[in-house]
Amino acid sequence: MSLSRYLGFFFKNNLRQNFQIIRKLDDEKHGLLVGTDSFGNQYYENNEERYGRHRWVLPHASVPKSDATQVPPGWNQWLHCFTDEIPKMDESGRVLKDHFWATNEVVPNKTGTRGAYKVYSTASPTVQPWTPTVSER
Amino acid sequence: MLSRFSKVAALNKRLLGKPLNGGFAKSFSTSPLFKKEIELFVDGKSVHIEEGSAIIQAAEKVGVDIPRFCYHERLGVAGNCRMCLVEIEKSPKLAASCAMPVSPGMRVITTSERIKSSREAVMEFLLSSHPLDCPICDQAGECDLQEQSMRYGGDRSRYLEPKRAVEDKNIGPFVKTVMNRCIQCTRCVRFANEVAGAPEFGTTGRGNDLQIGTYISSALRTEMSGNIIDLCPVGALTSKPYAFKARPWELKKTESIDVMDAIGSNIRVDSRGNEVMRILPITNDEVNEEWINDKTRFSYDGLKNQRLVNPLIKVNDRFVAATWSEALQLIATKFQNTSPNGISAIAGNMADSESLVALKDLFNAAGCENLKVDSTNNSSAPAFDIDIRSNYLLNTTLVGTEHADALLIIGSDPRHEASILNIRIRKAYLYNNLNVGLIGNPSDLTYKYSHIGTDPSAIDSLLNGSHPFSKVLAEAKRPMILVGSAVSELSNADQTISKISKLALNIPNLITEEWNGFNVLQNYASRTAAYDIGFTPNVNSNAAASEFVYLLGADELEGDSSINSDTFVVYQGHHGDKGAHLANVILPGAAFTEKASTFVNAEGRSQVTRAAINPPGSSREDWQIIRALSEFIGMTLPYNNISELRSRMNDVSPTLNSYDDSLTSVSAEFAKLGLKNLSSKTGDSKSKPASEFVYPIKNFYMTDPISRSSSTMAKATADFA
Amino acid sequence: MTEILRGGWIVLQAFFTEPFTIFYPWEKGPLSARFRGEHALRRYPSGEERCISCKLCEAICPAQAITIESEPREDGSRRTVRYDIDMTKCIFCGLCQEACPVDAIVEGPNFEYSTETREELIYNKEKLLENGDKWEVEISRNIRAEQSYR
Repeated sequence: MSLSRYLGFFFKNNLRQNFQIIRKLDDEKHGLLVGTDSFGNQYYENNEERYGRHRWVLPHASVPKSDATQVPPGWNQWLHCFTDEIPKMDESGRVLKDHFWATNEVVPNKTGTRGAYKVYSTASPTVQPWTPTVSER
Repeated sequence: MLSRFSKVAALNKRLLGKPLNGGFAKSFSTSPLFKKEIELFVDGKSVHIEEGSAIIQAAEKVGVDIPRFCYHERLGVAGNCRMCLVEIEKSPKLAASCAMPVSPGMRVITTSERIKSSREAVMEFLLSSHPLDCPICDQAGECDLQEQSMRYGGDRSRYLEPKRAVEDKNIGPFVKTVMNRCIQCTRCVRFANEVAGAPEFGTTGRGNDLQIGTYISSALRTEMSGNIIDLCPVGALTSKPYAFKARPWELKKTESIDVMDAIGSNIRVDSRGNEVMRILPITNDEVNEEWINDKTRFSYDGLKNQRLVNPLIKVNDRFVAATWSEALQLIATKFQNTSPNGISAIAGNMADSESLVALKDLFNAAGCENLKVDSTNNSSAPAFDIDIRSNYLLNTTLVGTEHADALLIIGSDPRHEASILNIRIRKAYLYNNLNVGLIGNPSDLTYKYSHIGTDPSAIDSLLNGSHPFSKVLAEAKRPMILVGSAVSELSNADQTISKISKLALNIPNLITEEWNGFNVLQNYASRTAAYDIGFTPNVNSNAAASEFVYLLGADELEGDSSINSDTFVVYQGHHGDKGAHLANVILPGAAFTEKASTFVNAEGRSQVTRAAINPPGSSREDWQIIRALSEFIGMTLPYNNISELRSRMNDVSPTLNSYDDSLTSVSAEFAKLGLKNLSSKTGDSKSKPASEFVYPIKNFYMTDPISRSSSTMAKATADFA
Repeated sequence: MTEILRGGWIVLQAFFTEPFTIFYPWEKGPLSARFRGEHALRRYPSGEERCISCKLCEAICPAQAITIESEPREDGSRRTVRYDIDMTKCIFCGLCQEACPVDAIVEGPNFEYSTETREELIYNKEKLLENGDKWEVEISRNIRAEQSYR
């Protein structure tokens, strides 16, 4: 790592920020806060950084196990440098829906938990067995 | 309407030498045209073909592919799609090869640049009023228009104008119409009018406004309506029950035999996974040509409902699921504790020959002769003396029927008992001047007939020559008598059959060395084989046996009195129908699509079904169940696999497994002997004479456990019956 | 002899230059609109599912990962009752997306769907539609970006 870059960023942030950044990102970053989503994830941009490192997300401090699936669609595309536009959000930080049927609830990956997706059949069974009934002789 | 008929008639007259008129008028010419072979050249290849054939037939004979939509070899010629245009040397215009008769030395070209552009142009015109909805069309993947536009069409569309829109028509529970897709080839109309005899189907309007449909909105009232789905070269007519279910490329195709009637139509069972998706006919000129009836085609959804999936034992008026060994052990104990005289077996209408042989072997080994088929009067030997095979077969054969020139139908409704046979009779009526007489209740048979009487006494008027039809029969070169199998279920069956056989012996040309015109029309797929095997009561039988009854798929049980409240009933079959309701133990068997088994059709032709899917749940093939039971009883049957069983079948009757499409016919002398035996029958003189012939089929769409469980058939019943 | 010193110099240089490593998942590399990630079934703006059950995707799928069963819906339209994708079989070739005449099945921009069991990777129709509803914001933008190349 570049020592000068690391120390430079370190002194630009205050101590509390530095604690969060190093805890969550394992690196020292400093940039312009572009937006905050409903989870409290903060999106930063610093165009001085190398391409690919110039946009990042700082997960919210209160989430114990942060992972990438907590980034809502829309912000994900911004992070992937597909667009420079930041997604339009409502006041609570949710990405605006294009359609009434779309969802902007972000459900993180639930694998390994009880809420994990389990496959089930959406079709009806191919054979309907007879319901046994006895008739009078 | 009239003009269309006359147009079709004119075309047919030119090609077939016989007028065809709507369905009911008949031609007077009887002598066949003399046809000599001529030579012509198609793309330089020499071909010899009968005079009067169309160019397209000559091309087919020499292997030159000509695209077509409206031409169909089994239908009259319409010549309206223009896809089959060919170039003829020294002829300025292109000719429709389906309507153009061959002439000697004709040189036909199908590969020129001119033909290529003409085909492209025809395709373009056809597609200009055809919607681009292949993704939601059920025909996609087996669509003539799709395939030919890929092969012969242009590579892009120039058509930007609005497309033709036609209202869809409701023509019944089987055929779904999407009339926007229709290319007006009129194959369906020709089929309905010529083959099926349903003149209510036709065209209205002209040119771009031409529409196919029933003139006044109604269902297409024919039991062969499903065939127009196969004939339709586009997706205008598709199957309603199969709608959107599957694509042709994902289906496993299994060639099999139909068991809904005794004709044994050759079918193709299309399945995906463990589900039958549809049933289609396969071409067999000897049996069903390429048609099947609607019950054969659409009752497959009954295979998914009301199935028996595991062995059940009745405990205090309730069925409890059991294991195979529990169920078989219970049956075996009961079987061993009952004297052979108190045991009987009833073979159902769809039982396969393998299980019939196995069951007979098992019962005979136990010293029991109480074997019956599932019919009225089943406690005594059948009234048709089954010792001579020609007494219970369709001796004329289906193909032979086409050559008949006089036909007497006694106590049968061939349209519903054997629709395929009825198609053949109609063919003979249209093209061979067949004269039909009917003794029985008059019904619409799709051809005209002289009605002789409704009750058996009408046979007397033919015997003593007082009815004019007796002269027709006497003068006919190839006369035919068709006796419904239900005649043997009359109260005075013996007398009636004796009368019929006397009449048969009186008709001079009925049985000759090359023609046997005496026919008994069996109704059920298993019946001929049951008679071949001898699955009938004999002198040693105890008709009253009622302690232990084994039902091998017997679900009608009409007029059977052997089951009372103390009877121990075993039901082996595939559906929870009447037999299962009565049973003490239920053994789940396989339906005809789930087993490889032999069926003998009404002509005596043995054919095999093939397993398209596996039997559901823990059900097993029927003969294996009987074999397993024999082990529990302690009288193990001496065959361990299907080939050993088939060789045993061959010992019982070689006719059961001669699968080579050949029919072994009885010699004329022997057939006459059989009739003489029948004519000497006196029967019980005390039995009261039947007032009329009763047809066995009350509702064509529901005749067996499979079709009774089918929701499609239920819809058809609601619509038609 | 000098090779060791030269090698050491390069290591020393690298120590003081900025790293090239992208700190995934908080920083992400650029992604094309053509990226083929997790599958999704889309809807029309009206909320009607796009898939018309033509089964072209099932037919074209080289890994045979797609299973479709269809039936007429109550209103008579052609719809699937089963649309299962076995993501463990899928090779992410994108042919399903190309075959689809109505842009119903798409491979979305998401690749962060790892699971602990294989069962969770057998997607049914509900799951795929859910994916579509969730990712529509990005999927529609990807398709719009690619529109002129199709």
